[in-house]
Amino acid sequence: MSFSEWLQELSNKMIFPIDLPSQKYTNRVTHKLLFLSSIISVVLGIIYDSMKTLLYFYGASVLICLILVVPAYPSYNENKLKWVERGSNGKSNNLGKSNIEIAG
Amino acid sequence: MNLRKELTNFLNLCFIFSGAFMFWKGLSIITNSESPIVVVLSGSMEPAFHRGDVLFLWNKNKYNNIGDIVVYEVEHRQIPIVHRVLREHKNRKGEQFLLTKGDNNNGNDIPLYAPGKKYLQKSTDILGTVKGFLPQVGYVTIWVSENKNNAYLFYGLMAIAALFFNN
Amino acid sequence: MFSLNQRFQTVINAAITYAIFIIFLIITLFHFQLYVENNITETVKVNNLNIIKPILNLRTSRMFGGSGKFPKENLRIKFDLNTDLSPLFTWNTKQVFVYLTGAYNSTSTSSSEVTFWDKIITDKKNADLDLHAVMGKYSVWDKQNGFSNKDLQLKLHWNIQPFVGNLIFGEAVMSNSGDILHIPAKEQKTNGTA
Repeated sequence: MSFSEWLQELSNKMIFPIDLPSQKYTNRVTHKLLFLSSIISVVLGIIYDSMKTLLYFYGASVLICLILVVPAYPSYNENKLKWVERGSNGKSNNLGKSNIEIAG
Repeated sequence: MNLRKELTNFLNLCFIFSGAFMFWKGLSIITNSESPIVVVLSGSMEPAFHRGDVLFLWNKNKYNNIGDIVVYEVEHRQIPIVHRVLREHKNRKGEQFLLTKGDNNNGNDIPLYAPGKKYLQKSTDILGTVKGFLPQVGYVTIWVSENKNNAYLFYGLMAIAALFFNN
Repeated sequence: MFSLNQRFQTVINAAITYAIFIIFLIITLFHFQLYVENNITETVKVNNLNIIKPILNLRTSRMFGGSGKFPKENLRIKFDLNTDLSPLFTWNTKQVFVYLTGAYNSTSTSSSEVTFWDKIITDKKNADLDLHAVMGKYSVWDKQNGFSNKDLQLKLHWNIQPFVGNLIFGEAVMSNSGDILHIPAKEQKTNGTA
């Protein structure tokens, strides 16, 4: 196995995919959470008259966002797309192909 | 091993670098300054500016006001200096001469200037006037440039990231 | 959002985007607070500025503008100052740099301005200045001649350094008309030690 093949295999293992609804969900969560926390952190900064409060609050919310969104939790893989299994006869094979075309 | 894919990656890397270069030079033209964004390296302007703070410069002004914070370069010294204008003199020819001082220094900058020089000339010596300020973001560049091992570590991490996450 | 790497990059990109949004929000609120709420162009006033005496000296050192054969006339001032700079302090103010200057030789093309005294204020508690018989920090010399028989237009400038954003410069409003300082002709007294 050459180095680049090994690298390819390693990066394939590093993907940690999640299903489609969860992809939409995490995207929404990221933007809503960060937008809200940016406004709240500015408000807190003004109330407490300190830039540090703002910085810590925003930093903490970015961290929370990372923890919520980045790992591939099992619950993010409950609605995986069901691909048609490669059957023994030619029929189901054809069916699988056309499915892919429609999905694309 | 896919040569086409690897070449595409290389091309993308080239795009990123040329894009960054174009952005920098474009900013240079807009602000009329050689280096429109600088990182503070010394503590001579504390507590206003600390090491690692990022400054945005503007150099389209013909004259500097008193109290402006300017960045100037001295011959035979590589690092530009960020200090405040203490005195300004405009003569009839329209030239402006400046004397500068660091807020945190005791004396003025005459010992820092080239031998025999008593004033900076606005048109030739000044790289730009500080207009905007972003704290501490530039510390990465100091961290990388001041230690060889840090530099290797940084570029190594960049290379690994580029190899893995090229999609 | 499919792979780990994509999710990580999306969050980091979004975090940076909203951080820039925060910075713009801070700068906008900062300007609003300074110019609308505190109205700094009018409320920052010099209540009292009294020059007790201008002190002229001849100096020969290079550090005071002279050279061995040609001594330079150096000017220092002793003054009282009363001004309240607390409107300049907001939640984004890191420090206020206040400096007392004199402008002279002003014509349509040429002019000069020199700093006599300055101070860094980092806390709102210390922003209400009431100084008595303070000696100017700097011994000032002119680039060409001396200061004898010249009129200096005194100004009190301030500069706000924010935690993030643009630097703001301004001038305190002089309340009395005593902001022009006439320097009398030089006394025949030289400072030999320089």
